[in-house]
Amino acid sequence: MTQVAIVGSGVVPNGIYVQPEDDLIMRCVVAAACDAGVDKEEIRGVIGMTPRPSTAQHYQAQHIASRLDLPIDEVCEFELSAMGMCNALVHAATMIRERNLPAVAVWGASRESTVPTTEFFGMRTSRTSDASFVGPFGMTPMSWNALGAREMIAAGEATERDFADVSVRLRRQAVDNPFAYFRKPVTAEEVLSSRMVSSPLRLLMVCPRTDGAGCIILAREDVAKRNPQRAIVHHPQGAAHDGINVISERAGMPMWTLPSVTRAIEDAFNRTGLSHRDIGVIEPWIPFAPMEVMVMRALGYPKEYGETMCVSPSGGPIGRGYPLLATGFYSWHELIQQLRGEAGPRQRDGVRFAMAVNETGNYNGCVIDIFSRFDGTAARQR
Amino acid sequence: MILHIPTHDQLEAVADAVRSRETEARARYEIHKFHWGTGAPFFSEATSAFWEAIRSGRFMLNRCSACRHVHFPPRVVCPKCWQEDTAEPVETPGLGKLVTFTELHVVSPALKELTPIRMAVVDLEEGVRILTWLRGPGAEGTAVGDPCRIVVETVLDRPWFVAHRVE
Repeated sequence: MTQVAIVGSGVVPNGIYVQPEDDLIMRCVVAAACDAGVDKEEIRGVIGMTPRPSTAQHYQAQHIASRLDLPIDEVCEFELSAMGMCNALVHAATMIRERNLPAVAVWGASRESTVPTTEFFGMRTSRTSDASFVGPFGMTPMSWNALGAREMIAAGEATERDFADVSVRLRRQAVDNPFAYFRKPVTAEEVLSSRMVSSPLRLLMVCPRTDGAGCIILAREDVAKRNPQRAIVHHPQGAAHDGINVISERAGMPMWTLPSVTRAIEDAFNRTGLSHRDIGVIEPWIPFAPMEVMVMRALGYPKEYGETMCVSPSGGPIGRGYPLLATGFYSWHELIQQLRGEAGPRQRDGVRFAMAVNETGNYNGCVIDIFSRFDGTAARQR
Repeated sequence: MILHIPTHDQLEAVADAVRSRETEARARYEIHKFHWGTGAPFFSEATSAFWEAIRSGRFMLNRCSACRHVHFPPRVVCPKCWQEDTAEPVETPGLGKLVTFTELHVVSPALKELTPIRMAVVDLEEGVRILTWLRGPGAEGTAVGDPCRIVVETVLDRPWFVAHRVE
């Protein structure tokens, strides 16, 4: 089978933009193509994001391809949420193999600033659980994470201080990330005295909804071999879902346990032959501090993971910002930088395998993506 | 599951059955729309009877007439045996245990008047999980594990099922 590798990545800094999604994406495509060392004539396939109702330009992928004068053979759209991102990555490799394309670009953008948080809750998250039996009560991902956090505290499995420590660590790590929204550290006291948003979650335990965009370019083996020390291999995915959507069918199960996460990492390790000790860096999809504690527990890491593991060196959504449908690009970008040895002050030395954990909390699904260098060596600071 | 390849006549019968249900569904939809509007709770053939019961002050679960499985919320296919249209409303005392709760300060504009919202997850004795508002006397002093009861109460000019703490 033709080997496929990630050869380029580009993101814009998390922020609040008046530039529309198209503009941000086009800048990312150029950045990713330069990073990859591919010509635009080689990008023959495109996977874009399905635009939100608030996005001005629909059929956005082919619109942008046209604006960039890309000679594409194939174009499609995915909803680039946690699951959609992972599907897009696999589909891009399939496009390259099936059609023998030199390179495929995957891109997306999210401008959360165009929809106020309360409106977002009303028009979007109230309908992603159960639109009639859960949504009308004001249920949002933030509140179901709060429900799990409360139960975890009551069971003696975590404390509010544990959750505050997650925010402190992520904000500290974001200081050195040029693409992060927050570049100032916070103390545990500041986190614990910030205003309550959904008890026991406080404001500084929650991600800022930001605007952002990203693009990665995957390429055929011959293209990847031009710069083998910079190309990144995507290993077979681990995936699991509990077949449950948020609440009704979870009777008797703690809200804070995430069986799909445990099964997904087992699946990933079974498919790759790797184990916990092989993974040097992790970027989990964590919009709320208690979620990190829950996910790392479900992944099988010890309670002290924050001191011993390299988790979210980019700052994660809490430190770097949360442009929802572009989040995966920032996680991938960080892991690519880490594996290449190009992460600057954030660099973890000797990384051979890096892992993105795309879990969906109480939506009860998880996909694990493991990456390594194309040349099979370990990362060294460059 | 046993493989069943339908004949053409059987497919015609299935199509006719769905079409004939649609006539009844349209009538129910008009009633639902009159009382609840076109927003949440959204109309479904399976849930319209539930919301009618809520309007009359009763919180009901559903039981499959084929396999006796009790489930919530109502749906057109039993989640256990996959029989269609076998859900029967069944009375419940609505008793259960408070699994967890949160006080939510950031809400959609439609719920702003209720802020902060006390949201609860309750596991009923029948083995179903309910998410709802925690209201009534003693709601502010509740703790995980407290006994609760699901009752019907008017909130924002509409009847809803909510949880009350019980002694």
